[in-house]
Amino acid sequence: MKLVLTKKIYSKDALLIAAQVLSPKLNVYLDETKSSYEVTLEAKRKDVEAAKLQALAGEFANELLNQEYRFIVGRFNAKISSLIITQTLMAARGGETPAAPPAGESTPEFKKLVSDLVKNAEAEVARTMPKKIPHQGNPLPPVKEDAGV
Amino acid sequence: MSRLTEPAGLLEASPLKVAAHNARVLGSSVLITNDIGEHAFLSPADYERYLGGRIENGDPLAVSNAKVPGLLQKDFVRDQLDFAHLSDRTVPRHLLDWKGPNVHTVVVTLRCNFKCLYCHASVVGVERTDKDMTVETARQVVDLIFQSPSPTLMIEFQGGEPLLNWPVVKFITQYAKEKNKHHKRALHFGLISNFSLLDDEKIDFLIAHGVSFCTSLDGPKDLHDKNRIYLGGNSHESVLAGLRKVVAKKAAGAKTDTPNAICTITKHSLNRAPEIVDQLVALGLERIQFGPLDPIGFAKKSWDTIGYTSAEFVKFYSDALDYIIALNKKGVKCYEKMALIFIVRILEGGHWRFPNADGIARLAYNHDGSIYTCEEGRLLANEGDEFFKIGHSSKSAFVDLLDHPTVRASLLASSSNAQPMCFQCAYNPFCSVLPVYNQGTQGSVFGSMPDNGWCEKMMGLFDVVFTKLRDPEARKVLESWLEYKTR
Repeated sequence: MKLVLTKKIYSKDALLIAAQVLSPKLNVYLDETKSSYEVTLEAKRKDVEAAKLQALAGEFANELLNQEYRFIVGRFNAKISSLIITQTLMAARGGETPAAPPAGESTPEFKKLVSDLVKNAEAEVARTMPKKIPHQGNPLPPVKEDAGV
Repeated sequence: MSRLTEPAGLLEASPLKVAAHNARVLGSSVLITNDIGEHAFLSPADYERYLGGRIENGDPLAVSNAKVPGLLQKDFVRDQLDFAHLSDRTVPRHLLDWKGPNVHTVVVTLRCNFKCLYCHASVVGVERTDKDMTVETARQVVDLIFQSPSPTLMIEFQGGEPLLNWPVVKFITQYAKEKNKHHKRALHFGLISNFSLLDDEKIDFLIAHGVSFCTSLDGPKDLHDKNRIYLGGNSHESVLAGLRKVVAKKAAGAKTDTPNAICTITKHSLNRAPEIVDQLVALGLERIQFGPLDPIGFAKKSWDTIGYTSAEFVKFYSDALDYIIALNKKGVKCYEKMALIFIVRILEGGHWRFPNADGIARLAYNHDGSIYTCEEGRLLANEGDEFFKIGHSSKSAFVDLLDHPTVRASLLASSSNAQPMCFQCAYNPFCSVLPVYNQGTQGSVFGSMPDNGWCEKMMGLFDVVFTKLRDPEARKVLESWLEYKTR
């Protein structure tokens, strides 16, 4: 399926983002003339019917509009957003130079205390936990309601 | 439920009289809000008069009466804006003095002895000790947590079932308390557990170290047991036993808060709001908290059997809130957590709306030391999307986490003023955008609001709360809940 989109309305950035968002479902090929973009859409699944591809094209077009509109709104508020975020990040990281750890943490007494806590915890793990097993792969899927459990 | 947010534009606005605002038709009224978080209900005829600039100084709508500030005081009239008031209200909402991440979710194991239908935590079987956090990783995590400049630190133990890795829960608690003797922060701990392994020894240790308790209770036995399957016993009985033990210790003088129970709502819960509320109230729990399902993580895979539409959840929530308000009128002391958050924002201008808290106010640590901007970001990583991973406990310094480009991108995406629809929405001053939800459901941190389930749900919930606020009796009850806001 091919879409022809005028450059007066759509930007390349919005096209690329929309293509990225729909990439799990669609292969998107981009070409251009002087005045328009030519977008070819191809469903990733081979068995997709024409109506489904039409719906995917609609989804792509909606995403494209969403991104284009977001750019407009984002540009409108860019300065204040950037100011707020910079202020936020600087405040949350504790300024340019974060404070040094308290001196008390460098004392031999504290290091000994930490070392003892670690040893005790590791001993408790060894004593009470099931035997360690090697990596077993990814987590299990959830139980389905009809699994009769 | 209409997604349309603004009737403005249908009528011509007087440029000298009408200040920037958003509006939403709510029943027979028009709700108007502005950027500093003020709101007013107008009849359609009054809204038309307002837009036409025909509300003069002496108009009852413009001036305050004994109870309600007028449109002038709320800065809805453009040629009479009070800029000192605008500034006082705007700065705290946007330029907050962020203190650094204070909520630190530590996943001490992925192992779990439950198999909940909606589990989103990517759990593994109890024999899988390869999915436990090691003591060394725990030490690194605690060191990182204390690098945050926040004067308040909350360490939340999560899983899997965190009590399955009890030695590491104990170690983190003890080590953090020892470190805090030098750092002198306000240090808090929370345990989020199914309570099945909660014996007296553990309860005594946790209470002695100031750890608060939170569990899941989905309602009456049949409903709870259907949702939360305990492989080693009776799910409902085990959580009730744990709750009762903690409540009994508190009653006997132990210094601990009343435990909290979050009620996750599945398709099976939708028609049972009163029964669910009754179950929680009968246990002496004042806080009622509903957890809506989001199609993220494993819940996405079970969505066909337990999921629902946003409108269905909103209907449930409305029924439940009606019931809780009715109980309050009868003298029962209880409140609903989400409504409390909303009314603090609506009535007191509290809470930020932008940026959201991911990365700058909260962080999540996986069992293997991986660090994420938030717990939901960790869940997405378990599904293969590591967008929100910003470091590792073995090699990242705290400032590396905050300087990570994902944190900045996530903050930018959380700006409702950069979101189509949001910046025109009447609920914009009170709502929040969730980049992690957008990423998980729509493949982009910015998302697409017209078909965004979170947006639809939030708009519906705000409809419910604002509708209640228009009813004087319900409003009185909701205002009384503000006493719980610091709990």
